[in-house]
Amino acid sequence: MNPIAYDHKMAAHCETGTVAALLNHSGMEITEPMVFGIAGGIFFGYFKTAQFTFPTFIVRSKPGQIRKNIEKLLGVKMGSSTFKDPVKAEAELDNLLDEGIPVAVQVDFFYMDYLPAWQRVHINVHFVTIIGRNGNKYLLSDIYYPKVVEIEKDTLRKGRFAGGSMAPNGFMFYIKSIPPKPDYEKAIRKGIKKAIFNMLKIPIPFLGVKGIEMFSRKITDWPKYARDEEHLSHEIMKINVLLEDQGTGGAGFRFMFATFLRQASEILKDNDLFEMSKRMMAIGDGWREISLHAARIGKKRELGPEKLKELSDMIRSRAEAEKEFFTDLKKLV
Amino acid sequence: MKEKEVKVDCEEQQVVLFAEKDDHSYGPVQTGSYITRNFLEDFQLKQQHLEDNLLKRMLAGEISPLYFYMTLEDISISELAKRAGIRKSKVKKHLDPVHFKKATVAELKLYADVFNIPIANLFQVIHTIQDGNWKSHFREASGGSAQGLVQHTTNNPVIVITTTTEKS
Repeated sequence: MNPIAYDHKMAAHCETGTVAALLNHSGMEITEPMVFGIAGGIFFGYFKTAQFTFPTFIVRSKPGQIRKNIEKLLGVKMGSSTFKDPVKAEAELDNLLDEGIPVAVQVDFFYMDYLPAWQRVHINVHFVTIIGRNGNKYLLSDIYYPKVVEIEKDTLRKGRFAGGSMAPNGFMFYIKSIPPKPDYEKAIRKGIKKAIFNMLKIPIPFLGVKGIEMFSRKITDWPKYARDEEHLSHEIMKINVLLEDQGTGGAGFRFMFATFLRQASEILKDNDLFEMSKRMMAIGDGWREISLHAARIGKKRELGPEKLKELSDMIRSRAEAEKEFFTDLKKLV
Repeated sequence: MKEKEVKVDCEEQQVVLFAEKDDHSYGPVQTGSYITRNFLEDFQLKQQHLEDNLLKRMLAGEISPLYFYMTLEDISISELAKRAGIRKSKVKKHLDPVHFKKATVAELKLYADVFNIPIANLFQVIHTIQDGNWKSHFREASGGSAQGLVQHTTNNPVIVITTTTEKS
């Protein structure tokens, strides 16, 4: 079959980028930051659980929530399914492709073999879009990769049916219809309120601003979880990867959120939001400094208590800045 | 962050970051990965040290092949248990070489599938004459050809054909 005429371009994050690209393909003009902001994607969580080999953090809302919130708040109709049987999952995918519908699928990032080995880790919540098929291969648009690629059917199947936490279970989704006149103003305000709730109001000590505070306190304990100095260096340098490289748009989604606020200020004609976008960009600059500092001390193996304290102080200052920011933002919506 | 401050020259890994443009608008900038550009060698060095150390311990009988792959792939015991569909307590036992020997072929196949390796690679370390650095934990689709060896799966789930190839 001929591939679907699909405008492939790179984006910052797999879920927001994929949802925005599918909406654009269906004729809805919406940017990735707008998808992120309306869906209330900004977040923070600090975790030390058996699921992970080392303490870690997240900087966005739960995977899948972006799509769900966009459906709900903008009135987009999406089709979605999970499967137990890979053969049925493939047949359903093929049917949609034959109808000319691009389909987003959830995969384990590890199996995306067009990416270099060092990038490929086991994360079950990566989203890619399938835009065609050719014999034993699918044509795939991954917003983390500069061009459309081919992937073996067997490899995609492994990715779609990997087990473990947040297993994809063959999950796929596609756009059924878009609303003629989405109510952006209402959706933007709801998205901002959700962001404020996520960052300030969740009564759990490791989520939101409290999560950033916990991160700042706990990072000085990290040496006791490490196998050796190189392991600690790796984990400290991973802070940079988690904030910058793993599809955040930079500074742990803070730059993307600033861009959303800027676009929101234009739509709502609200100068206060314009000013808040500048403040969020400055907060992001602080996160970027943390990223760079973590990479540098990790590389130099300067991982003694003093350097970790410095890192801890930098993170605490982000908690303070974000607490103030979201408290002020609350007054505007 | 200004656009020019996020620009990094790195062909190997492109990313999209949001930044302030020259006209003070905010928008996406496609650029290279800072950490890949500056610190990939350091990451690979640490991975090599980790692998060397784990291999030494595995050959000395201190750890099982399961421990070797699990640590190398940075997967927790919980996650491995979930992915393989094997009880966590059993996975813990199989990390010990003594208990690993008692694992069934079916269980080993489940582990091998998680690591995307042939089951045979849980029992062997392959060195080639040309290239002693061939990785037993290769990724099927990309690991073989550049290393002088390639492994093909067969219709028999426990059999793999290992073939020498011309190095590209």
